[in-house]
Amino acid sequence: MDPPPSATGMDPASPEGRERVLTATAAAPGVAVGTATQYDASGPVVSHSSIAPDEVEAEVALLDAAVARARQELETVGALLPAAATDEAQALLDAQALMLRDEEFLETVRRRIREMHASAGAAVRAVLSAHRERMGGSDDAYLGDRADELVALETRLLRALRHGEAALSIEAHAVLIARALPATDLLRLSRHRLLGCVTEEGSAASHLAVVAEALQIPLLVGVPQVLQAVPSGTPVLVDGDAGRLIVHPTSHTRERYRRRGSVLTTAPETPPDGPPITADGHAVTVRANIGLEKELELLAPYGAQGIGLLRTELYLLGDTGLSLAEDEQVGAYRRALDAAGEAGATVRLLDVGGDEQPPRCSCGLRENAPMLGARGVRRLLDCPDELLRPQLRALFRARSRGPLRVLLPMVTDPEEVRRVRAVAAEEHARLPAAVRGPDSSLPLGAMVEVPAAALRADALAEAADFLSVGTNDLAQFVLAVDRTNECVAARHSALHPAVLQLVQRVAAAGRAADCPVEVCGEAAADVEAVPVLLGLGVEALSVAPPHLLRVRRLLQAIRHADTPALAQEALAAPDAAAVRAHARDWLRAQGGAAAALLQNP
Amino acid sequence: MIEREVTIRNRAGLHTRPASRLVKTAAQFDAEIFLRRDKYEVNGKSVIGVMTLAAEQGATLTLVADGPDEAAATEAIVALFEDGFGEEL
Repeated sequence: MDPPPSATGMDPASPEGRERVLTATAAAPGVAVGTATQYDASGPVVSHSSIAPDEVEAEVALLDAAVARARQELETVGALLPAAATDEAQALLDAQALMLRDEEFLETVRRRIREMHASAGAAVRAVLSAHRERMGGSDDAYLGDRADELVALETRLLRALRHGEAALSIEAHAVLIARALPATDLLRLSRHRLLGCVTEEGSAASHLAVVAEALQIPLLVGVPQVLQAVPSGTPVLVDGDAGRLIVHPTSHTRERYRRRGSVLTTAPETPPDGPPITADGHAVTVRANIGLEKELELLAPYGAQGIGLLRTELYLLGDTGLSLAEDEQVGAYRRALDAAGEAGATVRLLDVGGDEQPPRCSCGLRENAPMLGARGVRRLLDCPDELLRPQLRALFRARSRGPLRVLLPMVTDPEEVRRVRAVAAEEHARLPAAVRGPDSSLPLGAMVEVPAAALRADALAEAADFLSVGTNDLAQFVLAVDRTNECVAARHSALHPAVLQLVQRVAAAGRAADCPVEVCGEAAADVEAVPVLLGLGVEALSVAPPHLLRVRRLLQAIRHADTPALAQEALAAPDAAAVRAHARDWLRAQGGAAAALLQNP
Repeated sequence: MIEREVTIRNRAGLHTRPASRLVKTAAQFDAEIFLRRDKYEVNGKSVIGVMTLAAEQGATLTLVADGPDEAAATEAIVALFEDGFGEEL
């Protein structure tokens, strides 16, 4: 750990002379470098407070429509909740949903509209502020949280009354600066690839901190006057480990953090040159995982070799749910292919499923274990007309823009790949010749997440054109660990020797069948995991854009010829911790440049 | 109509999560459910109402159930309080 920089005002050692270090309470760990974006969670101003008597029923209808929109927004947030999110985050969403169904409250608001001719917004504010007043003034931290929940409800309703026009979209890769931030807003904003978060109010024991940690977003709280000190557009470094907000960090400061292996998150001024290559000249393909349209603009500056995983269930998600209209899908895929350039895009078909994500179709009963339920390709084949066929048609129509590969989520058996291939051929034949292109074959890959798929990788490699190992889900299923369960989450590791054995098996099957094998899980961006994966025979990685540069630097610092020995050690290790220890020793032995990338040297 | 004294046993008080559990349980019954603290009474099926009770550990509330299944409702809700809503006591 570095000695703490000066905590007061200007740092005389800084060549740029503008660096300032503000002390804060570290509420969620991690380091982020980005551009400050101020966020006003308080919602829009109520524009008019009273209405004419003959407008009363229209105003009540407006309120009811807004409540319905707010409920829908909450459901969307719930569907986006990452697997790592905690029970606490889910409980928060539940509470917000219950509040939106609180008939007593809603009836009080309606009565206020009808009897006092208040506008819907003014009525919501008046009723909720009366409730807050009852609870206010208490020092009890838990009571404070309850008041936060009412503020969050008010914000949500007022926003819905304005048709969601409020500042709910932020620049991707921003560091959010706010006076206060409801935890549910953070959940919603997190799909914009928020890098870090700094608030003036709040505590390390708040709901916000729990959610930020689950989302792996560094969070600082208790920074006085932060809105005045850090205008939007200011470069900042958030150190959620040591509790420091560094405004205008100097290149020296950034470099010091970079050496520590902290995530480097600002785009380079010039894109990296040439393909990623190891120190001994072995080329490794490094693609980008994309979930949001906004991220497409990062492909070029971060030097991605195309898109390795386009998560369509996120990419097609609008403010009111998935946009599945075929024409809209065509446009969305064209934009992705245009951004990916000649390296091309790998589009994963919708991985919706369980009871949690829209759209629903007739085949779903309530599922007790949605992770093991009708999701991924199972769902696609269960209801081909709603999901699979329109998506394939849209992909055929878009593919003239660039090289396109299609990836199937949650494959268990080779037969599933064959069935999708047959449906694709049917849809191709139905399209007019002018739009479908001459070639009816679409490169079709299978995600390897289900242990059965990995164990029978030889058969799968015959049926698929490429294989992509999703290490997160694979590890979850192999180790029988639910990552959302705090009691066991720490047992989850893609570096467990049992998971690595399966990766080796898949890589070997791919080589034998001339079927490329790539890894698109979090392990592909893990400095300690990458050399092991290469040693097991993996030739391509796909990572979130912020990790692209670090993976490149890692490759430049290691010798590919040394990786098989590490992989053998890893396969023979007793557990995941031992694999990590081997990998760290191996990286140190590769030299200073590799060792510098370790998270905690 | 049944009236029963209940005490908040869990350390964190009647915060968001216990309030949600309480309301979800109350909603399963036809009986009207009220909670009273001093002279302030809230509808036990309104989560916002229950949250505004601001009831901390040790606080005593009066539970009122009125309707055809009032006995079962009382039993279910009293059990929640006695169990500290499944939280740390």
